[in-house]
Amino acid sequence: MNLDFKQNIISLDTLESTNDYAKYLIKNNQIKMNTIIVCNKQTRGRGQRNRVWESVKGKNLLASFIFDKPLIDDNFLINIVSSLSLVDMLSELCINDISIKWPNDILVNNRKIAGILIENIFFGNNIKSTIVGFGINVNQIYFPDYMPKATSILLEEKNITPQQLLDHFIPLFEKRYFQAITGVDLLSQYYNLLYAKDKRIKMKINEVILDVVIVGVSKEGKLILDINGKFSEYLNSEIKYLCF
Amino acid sequence: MKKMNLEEIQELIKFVAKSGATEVDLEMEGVKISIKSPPKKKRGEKDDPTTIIQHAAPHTIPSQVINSQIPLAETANIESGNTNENSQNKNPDAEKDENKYITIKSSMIGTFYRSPSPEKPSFVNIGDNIKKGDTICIIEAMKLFNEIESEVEGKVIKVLVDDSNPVEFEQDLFLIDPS
Repeated sequence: MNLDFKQNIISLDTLESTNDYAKYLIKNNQIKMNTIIVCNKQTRGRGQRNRVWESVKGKNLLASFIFDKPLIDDNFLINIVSSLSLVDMLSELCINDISIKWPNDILVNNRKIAGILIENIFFGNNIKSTIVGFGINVNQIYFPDYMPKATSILLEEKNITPQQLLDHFIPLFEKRYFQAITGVDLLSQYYNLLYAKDKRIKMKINEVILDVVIVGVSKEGKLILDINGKFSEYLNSEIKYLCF
Repeated sequence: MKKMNLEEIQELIKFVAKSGATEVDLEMEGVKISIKSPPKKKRGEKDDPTTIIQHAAPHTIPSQVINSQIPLAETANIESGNTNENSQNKNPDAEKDENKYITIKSSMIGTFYRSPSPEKPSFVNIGDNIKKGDTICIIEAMKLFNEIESEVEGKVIKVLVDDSNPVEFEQDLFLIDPS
């Protein structure tokens, strides 16, 4: 069984965002198989709800994987698959100190190296397509002031082009996807890689700053925090990291 | 229905302004009234330039009371206005119509968004006719964005959740008139 992403790669110079272009193709019924959209430069690269993802042309890997007929409709599981495959890729490059900043950033030595933006399209209650967008800092070495805690593969002293990195990444991503659909326990692996796990940190929770310890992630993807000995689950909209 | 006097017309204007409706067309006994007001009025601005145009209409027009297709402002505070409209609508099928509506429910827990991004217009508005496959909303769960396409077609009667509010599994989102 193969997801065949390698067979259908659409490579473009400039796009507003690879995820938006992916959505456009889906809406116009132009996606007949699993497809990768990749570009050199995004003019409107997005984080969530329009937080800009800054990227210098040609320096980074900007790719969206479109699942034509997704086999996973569990929102959090696809996030775990995506996060773990990025960690695998960085590990293969012998980069250390990798962690996952819940819910969708990958850090190296507590600096952001990659981000994930997942979008599903549902027809009523049934999943129709999944778009997994990756932004990976590869050869960018300067970051704007508002991204103080960023790093790149080059800054971690590894040399690779975005194209080589994509070739590297595809089988790792497909492997994790298969593990998920065959029921391998990925949640515990994800949890073991969590940023600030088991450490006392300050977080803003519903607008109040508190001392918390990240103690886990629920199956639905909520962050489990220990606040003064009491465990509670939180949505990403309820909490804010203070160190980023 | 008897002819309206000036006072009743003034009452009607007040009612329209309060309801949040932006346009009402009324025809009876050869008189046609159309009231238009700018949308999103602030509280207390009663002296808004709500305009009223009254002119003779051809006598052949049936004396239907209020056009049931009043475009309503999409805020929760017009709920009362909406019921009122139904009661004035003296349509014996009104209750039956309610039952014919289809409710679109949420298939997941998350945050409900009516537009693709904050500065963009809503996917659908009250009164819009939607087709199968039209995107109607986004439900975000843990920074994962689920774009929901409609499985049904019809006219949007109500949007039951405000933008950026949390929704539960199976919560009602939209009321659709399939006819």
